Amino acid sequence: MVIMSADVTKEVKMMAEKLVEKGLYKSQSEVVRDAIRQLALKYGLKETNVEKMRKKVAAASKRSGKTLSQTVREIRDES
Amino acid sequence: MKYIDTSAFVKYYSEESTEKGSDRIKELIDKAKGGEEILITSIMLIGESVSVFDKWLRLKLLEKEDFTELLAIFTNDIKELTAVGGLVLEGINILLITASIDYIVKYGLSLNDSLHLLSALLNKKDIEEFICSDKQLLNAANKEGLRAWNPED
Repeated sequence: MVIMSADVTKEVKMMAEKLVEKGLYKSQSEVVRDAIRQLALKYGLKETNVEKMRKKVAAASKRSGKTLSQTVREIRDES
Repeated sequence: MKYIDTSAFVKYYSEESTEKGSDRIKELIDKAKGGEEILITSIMLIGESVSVFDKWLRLKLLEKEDFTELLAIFTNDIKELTAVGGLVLEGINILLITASIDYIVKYGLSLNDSLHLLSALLNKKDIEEFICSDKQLLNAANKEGLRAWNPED
């Protein structure tokens, strides 16, 4: 990790605090990291790699024994 | 034109080794992206797919960063597919919801299952195959005269 400092308005700082308070992020640093990642995706600076993602999904599937198709069924049964 | 249910579409984001039928779905969706195939589905597929990814995040099967990226990949895929005409999204209205009640009662389906089935039946004459990986919905589709196909088989 490296340190990056930035000037933000009180409003932006409060929004970051609220996102942490709500439990969506562990820290304000994580809020900033995710916001920058999303901006990079939005502006095409980061290549999305579907093959890499498939490997992660498959690994999660292997660990949990769950599949995406089965989760569709679960969600439909829950609703 | 082929109808694709969410249970089949989401296989695009996994691998054959853990999610049976993934290879067939990859081939199908990639063909649709290339303009060689036309798929149709209910607009519900978008919300249902995001719910699946969200559930995996909540179950801690996916990291927040991976979830964000998966969502971006999925959104781009939907945009790309619809832009090239490879995916037609059937809308939902009050009449469709009302009509879906018949199939809920007839086959004991959930509302979402029933809306997918009805969305396919409304386009029955143009649909060659009903692609789905849910046995209950496949069974109902078969009984309604759709040529149902499970990519897992």
